Amino acid sequence: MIYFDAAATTLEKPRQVREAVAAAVGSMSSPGRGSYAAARRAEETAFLCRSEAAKLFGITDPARVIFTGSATHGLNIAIRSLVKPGGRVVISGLEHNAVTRPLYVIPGLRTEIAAAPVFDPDAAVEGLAAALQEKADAVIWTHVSNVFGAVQPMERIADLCRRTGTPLIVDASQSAGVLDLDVMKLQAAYVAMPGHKGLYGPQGTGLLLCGREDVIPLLQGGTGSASRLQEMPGQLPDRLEPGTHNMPGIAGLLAGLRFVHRMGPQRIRAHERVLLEEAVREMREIRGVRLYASDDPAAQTGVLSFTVTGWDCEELGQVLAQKGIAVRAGLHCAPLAHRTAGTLETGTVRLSFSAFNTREQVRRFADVLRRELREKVTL
Amino acid sequence: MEYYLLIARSVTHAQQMARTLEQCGVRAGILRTPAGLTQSGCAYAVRIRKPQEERGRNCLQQAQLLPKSVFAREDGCYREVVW
Repeated sequence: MIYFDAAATTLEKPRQVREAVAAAVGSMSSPGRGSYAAARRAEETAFLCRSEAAKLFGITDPARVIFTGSATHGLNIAIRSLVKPGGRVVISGLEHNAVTRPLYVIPGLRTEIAAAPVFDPDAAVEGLAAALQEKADAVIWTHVSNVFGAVQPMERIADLCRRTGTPLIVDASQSAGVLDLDVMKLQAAYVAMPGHKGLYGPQGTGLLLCGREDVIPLLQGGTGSASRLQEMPGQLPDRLEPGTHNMPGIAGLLAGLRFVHRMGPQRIRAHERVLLEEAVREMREIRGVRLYASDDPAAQTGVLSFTVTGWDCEELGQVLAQKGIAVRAGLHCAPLAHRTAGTLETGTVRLSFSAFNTREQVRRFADVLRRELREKVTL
Repeated sequence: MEYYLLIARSVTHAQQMARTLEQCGVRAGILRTPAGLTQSGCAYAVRIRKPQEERGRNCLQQAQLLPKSVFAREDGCYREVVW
């Protein structure tokens, strides 16, 4: 199989991740729950994981690195903490349902979409500046579009938020592990990310990086601390981490973070960029293919959407799956991004690369695509 | 043996304190806080030896990681002290 769905989940993981998960299942209980060795191992692993993430994302206090089950989980906490019923929020035109659905259920909320063409960072900044003429509870902005790989001008977005005193929530689902991300430099209120994409951890893991501490828990329950109190503890990370920790997941995420740290996000991105350029070069020559690609190397990560004249994107995705090529077709849980790009009615087929893909795989994919399109035309 | 117990806000805080103390040359061990020392129940503490108390305090003060409370263990009893 050729796996080009890393924007959903990086299926190919470093060997150390698989080993760490397997080892944790039989050797770690839960942090903060006892004096015995299995609890201590869990505490040590959780702390090392927080510290590794803090180092990678420019956070000085590891206690502000919160374990979540996914980026969606983290975004829900951040939104609940900052966005109030009857309030106003500004979002980009590229947001995922992980942002728009939690907003949708907040009564009386005015959500303003600062829409801009997909690969136009200047227009994005201008759109946000206009939207922030009026006070907002928060700005929520994805660092990279999960559909188009479009990199957002996050430092300029953060600067606008700082100047207007608007808290910023960053969805780093597609950028964590691929782009440099410094939470303190951005002065973001919250940054949410999954563990199972660019950080190469297992599914069911995620991180919420807290630039501020006035956070409202989504769940209440046991934390192994201050147990006589009925309210949740005030301090992070306990305030946001009730229930037993996913120690196999956290151990795997630690191994994934170490892999990313060792490789370096810049090197991973450069590799994915080579694959993207190869894909664009190969596919540009195929008749009927429309690519959603930027000419500027800095403006796109290793994510490439395309459509083919005369093909339904889901049918094409299915044909490719039958040929052993894993891609994602449809709306990618981001109808807003498709609306912004004008592809809401058709959807797109998305290729997304990881550190484990090769140029040879891209060429084989292009050969299969060429053959399939030729055969359909012949029929 | 005489020692000090530094009560942590969370197990993460206990680990931060212990690591920081070790970096300052203060031997530190993490343990569950004796039940009688916490009003809110279930906590972690860091234990340091009495002769290293001043160095430990300065170290944690500088790192802005001061404990929630501090107890001195003397003659088999705990006595709260103010840092």
